[in-house]
Amino acid sequence: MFATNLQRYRQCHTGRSRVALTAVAMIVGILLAFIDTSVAFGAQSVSNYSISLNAAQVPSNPKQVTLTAQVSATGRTGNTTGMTVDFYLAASQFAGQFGGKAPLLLVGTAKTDASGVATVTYSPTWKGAQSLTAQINDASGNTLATASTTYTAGSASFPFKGTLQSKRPDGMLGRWVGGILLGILAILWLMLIGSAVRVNLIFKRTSHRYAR
Amino acid sequence: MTRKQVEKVDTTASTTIDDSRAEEAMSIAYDGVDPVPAREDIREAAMRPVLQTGKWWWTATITLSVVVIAGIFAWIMQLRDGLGSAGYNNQAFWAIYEADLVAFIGVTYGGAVVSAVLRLTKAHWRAPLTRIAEATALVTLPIGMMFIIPHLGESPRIWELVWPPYWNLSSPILWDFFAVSTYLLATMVFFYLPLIPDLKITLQRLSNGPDNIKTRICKKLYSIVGNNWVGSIAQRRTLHGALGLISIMIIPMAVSVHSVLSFAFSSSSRAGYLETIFPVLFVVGALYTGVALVIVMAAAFRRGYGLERYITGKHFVRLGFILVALGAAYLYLTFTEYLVDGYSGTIGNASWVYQTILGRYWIPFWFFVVGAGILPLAVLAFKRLRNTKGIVTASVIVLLAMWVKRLVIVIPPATEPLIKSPLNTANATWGTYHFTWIPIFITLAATAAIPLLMLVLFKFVPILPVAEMEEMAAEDGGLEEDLSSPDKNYYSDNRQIKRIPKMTERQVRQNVRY
Amino acid sequence: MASNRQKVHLPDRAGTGTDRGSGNIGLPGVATDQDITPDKDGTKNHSGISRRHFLERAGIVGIAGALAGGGVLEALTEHKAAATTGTAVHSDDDAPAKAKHQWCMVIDLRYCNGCKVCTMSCQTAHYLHKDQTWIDVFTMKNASGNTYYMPRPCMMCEDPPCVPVCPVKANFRTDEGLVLVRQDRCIGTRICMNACPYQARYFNWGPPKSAPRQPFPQEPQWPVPQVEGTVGKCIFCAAMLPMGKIPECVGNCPMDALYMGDLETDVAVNASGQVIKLSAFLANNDAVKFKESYGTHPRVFYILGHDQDLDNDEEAG
Repeated sequence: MFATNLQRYRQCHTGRSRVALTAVAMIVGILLAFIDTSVAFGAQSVSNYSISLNAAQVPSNPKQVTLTAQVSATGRTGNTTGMTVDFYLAASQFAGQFGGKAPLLLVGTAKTDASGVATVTYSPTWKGAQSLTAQINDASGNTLATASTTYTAGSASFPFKGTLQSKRPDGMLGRWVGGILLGILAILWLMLIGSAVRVNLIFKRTSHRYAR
Repeated sequence: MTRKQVEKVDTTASTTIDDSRAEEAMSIAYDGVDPVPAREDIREAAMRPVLQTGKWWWTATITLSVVVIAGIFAWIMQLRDGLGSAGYNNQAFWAIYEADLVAFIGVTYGGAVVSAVLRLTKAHWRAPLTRIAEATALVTLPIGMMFIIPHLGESPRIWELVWPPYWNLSSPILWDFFAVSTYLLATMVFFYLPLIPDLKITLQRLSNGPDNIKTRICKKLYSIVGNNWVGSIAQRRTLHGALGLISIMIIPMAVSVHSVLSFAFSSSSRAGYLETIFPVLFVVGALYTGVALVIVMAAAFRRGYGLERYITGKHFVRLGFILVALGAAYLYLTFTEYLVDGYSGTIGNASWVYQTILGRYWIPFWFFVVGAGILPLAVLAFKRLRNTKGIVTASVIVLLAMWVKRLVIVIPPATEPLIKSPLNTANATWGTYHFTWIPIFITLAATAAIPLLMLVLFKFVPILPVAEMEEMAAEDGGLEEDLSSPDKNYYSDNRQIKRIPKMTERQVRQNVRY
Repeated sequence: MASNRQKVHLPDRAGTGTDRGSGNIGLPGVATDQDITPDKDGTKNHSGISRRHFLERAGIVGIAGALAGGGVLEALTEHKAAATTGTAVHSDDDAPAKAKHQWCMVIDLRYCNGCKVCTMSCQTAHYLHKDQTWIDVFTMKNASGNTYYMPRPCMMCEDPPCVPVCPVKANFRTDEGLVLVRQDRCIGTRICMNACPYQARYFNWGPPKSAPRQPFPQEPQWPVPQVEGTVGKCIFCAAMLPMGKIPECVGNCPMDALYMGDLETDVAVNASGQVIKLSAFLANNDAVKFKESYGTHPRVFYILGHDQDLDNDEEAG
C-alpha cells in the first residue's frame, strides 16, 4: 500500500521537484519504520508478508512430497497464524496455450500454524521437474505474497492405470486363429494347384504308351 | 501299375482269350484305350458355338459390349468426380456397390451347387448343365470381385491388399479378399480339369474346320494339355479322383466366401448389421441366386444354340425344385432375423426393423418378399406354371428381387442415426442414399458382362461337357434313355463310373482310335 | 461455480473408471491340420504319384506354411508404426515404455449451450467441409422434452472398434491413446465408419477443401488438407499437443464446457486456463462415458446435469 501511494505520488510530479519529493518521502519512510506502524495505520495495511516454499520428499513414502510454506511478515512479527496458503502446481503440459505461461493447478490448501508454517502433502503425477507455487491471499482475495520452487520428482504415482487388453479378436486368440487360417489357406492353394499339375503330369505320362 | 491292380481289372474282361493275351489286352484297355464310345451328336452339339457364329451372336455381343463400355465410362466419371458422385454420403456410407458385391459374388454359387454338390450326390442328370454352371461361376466371380474397385474410395491403392506388411489379419475385408481369391482359384481349377478331355475333342474338330488365326492359336494352346488325353480308364479315374477332391474342397470354400463377406457387415455394433444369422443368410442367399442364374443362363444358351435335346425341361424342373427349397430357406432365415431383432426391442433394432418393414424401406422389402419369397413357391406349386417358361421367369424375378434384398440388407442399417436420445428418437434424422446414374450404369454393365463373357467363352470351349456326357451315355441305360424316359426315378440313380462297360478284346481293338 | 471448480482438494485415488485391469487372456493355440485332412474316397490310383503321397507332401508343406504363417503373423502384428508417435496398438502396461501423456477430454454438458463454436473453429483450423465434423454438436431431447446439446468428438477409445477392421492397418492407436488415420494408406473401404458406434468418422466423398501451406506435413497427426477417397476423423489436434496447445474446440469454447485432459498427469484444462485435478473432478461430478456398453472404453468423459440420458443402455446387438 505504501509503495503504491508513493508511486502514485511520484507520477504526479515531474522534473526537479520529483527528486526533492522522493528524498522527503524516503525520510518519512525511514521514520515510519521506527514508529510502531500498527498504532498509526493498523496492522493489515502495514505488514508486508513474505512467504517461502520448500518441497521435500516424504521419507516414508518416496511418491509423496511435503510442501512447506513459511509465512512471515516484515516490519512487525504480526499475525501469521491461521492464514490460508494455496499450493499450486504449474500444468506445464498446457503451457503453450496461454502465452507460454503454464496454468496453475491447485494441489492443496492449508492454514498456517502458530509459527506461520503451512504444510500439505502432495503426490506428483509425473516424474521430473515440477514448478510449485505457494500463495497467500487476504480476505478480499488480493494476493499478499507468492513463492515458487522447483522440485524434481524421482517417482510419481499415476491414477491412470495404463491401457487395457483389447477384448476384440486381434487382442485375444485372433493371432493364433489368423495364423492357423493362413496355414489352411496355404494348404488349399497348394492342393488346388497341385491337383491341376498332378492331373496334367499323369495324363502326360499315360498318353503315349499305347497310342498309335 | 502293380500286378494286383491288373488282376482286379482282369476279372471284368472277357474269358474267351488266353491269359497272357488277355492281360495284354486289358493293359491296353486300362492304359491306352478309350473305353467310352464316342457320341458324334453330343460332340457336334457341344462344338456348335465354337465353330458357328450366327448373326444373333454378333448382335448380342455388340449390344452387351456397348452396355459394358457405358459402365466403364461411368466408372471413369466416378474416378474423376469422387465417390460422392455415386450418391453416397456420410450417413449412407455403404449402399449399392456393397449390395452388388454381395449379389454378384453370390450368383457364382450356382456352379458350386450344380457341379460340386450334384457331382458328390451322383446326380447324373446334371451332366449337360455342368459346363454352363461352371462357366457362369468362372465368369461371375471376377465380375463380382471387380466391384471392390468402384467400392473403394481410393481404388488405385488396391495393391495394398496384396502387400503383406500392410495386412491386418483381424479385418474381415482382408479375409474376404483371401477367401474370394482362393475360391476363384478353385473355380478355375474346377473349370479346367473337366475341360482337358474336351480340349482334345475341340482339337480334332478344329482340325476339320476352317483354318484361321483363332483356330491356329487355339490349336497351339489346346495341344499343350489336350493331346495328353487318351481317355483310358487310368486317366478317367485320375480325373474323377481330382474332381471329387475339388468338389469336396469347393463347397466349404464357397461357404467361407459369403460368410466372410457377411462379417464385413456384422463386425460392427450397428443394429441390422450385427446379426449372428448373417453368414448363414448370406450363404443361402448366394446359393439361391446362383441356382437362379444357372437356370437363366442354361435357358438362354439352350435357346441360342439349340441344345433342347440335352438340356430338357426336366432339368429346369429339377433346378426349380432346388431353387424353391433354397428360396424357402432364405425366406425363413430372413423372417427369423427380423423377428428376433423385433423382440430385442432395443432402440437401434426396433427402429431398424420398423423402418425396413413398414417405414421408409417398405417398398423394396415387400418386393423382395413377393418376388423372391412367394413367387417361386407359387410357380413350382402349380403344375400349370411348373414348366421351363414359368421357372425361367421366376428365376429372373428372383435375381432382381434378391438384388433389391441386398440393398435392403445394406442400406437401412447404414443410414440409421447412431446418436439419438434414447427416450426421444424423433429428433434423429435418417440418412438417405440417392441413386445416381453412375452406379446404375456400372451395375448394368456388370450384369451385361455375364452373358457377354459367356458368349465369348463358348467361342473357345465346348458348351457341353462332352467326355462326361459320353461316360454317362455309355453306362447302363445311357444318357438318352435317362433324358427321354419320363417315369424313371433319377434320384435313386447311384451308378458310378467305376463300373466301366465290359469289353471283349475285339471291342477293345475296335475302339482304339488314337 | 466456476471458482468452486478450481478449488478441488486432493482426493484419495478415486477410481475413475479407467482403471481397467489388463487381464491377458491370450492363450497359445495349437495348430492342427485335422480339419484339412483330405478325404479318402477309395479311388485307386494307378500312376506313379499316388494321391496319398501327394496329399501327405502337401500336408507337410501346409503345416510348415501354417507355422511360417504364424511367424510372419507375429512379425506383422508388431506394428512398426514408422513415422508416427505410436508404437503399438495395444501396448503392454509396463512402466518403461509408458507414454508421457494419455490424452482425454472432459465435456461438461451442464455448460454447453449448443453454439457450435467448437465445430466451426475446428473446421476453420483444419480446412474441412461443412459436413466433415471432427467435433459435432447434436441437439438432443431428454425425457421431459427439454433440449440439451451434446458435443461429440472422436472418443479415442481405449479398445477402438475401428482399428481391428481396417484391412490395411490405416487406423492405429498411438501410445498416447490417440486413434489416428493414415490417410496416405487408407483405401476407402469405409468399414471403420461401419464399426464406429459414435458416428465419429466421415468420408472424403469429393475433393477436399484446399488449405494453405501448413506448419506440419500431411501426416496422421495433422491430416490437413484431407485426402480425397479416404476416411477422416477428429485427431484431438495431435500435432499441437506436444507444443502444449490444447485442441481448437477446447481452446475456443466460450462456455468453458470442454476440457483437454491428460490421464497420465491427472490434469485437465479449459479455455480460460482453469485447471482441474482430473480424477477428483470426474469422481466428484459423476462423469460418464458415452455408450460404454459397447466395450470401447472411450477417453471422453461427459458430466451430466440436465436430466440427460446418454445412449448408454443400448445392448449392442
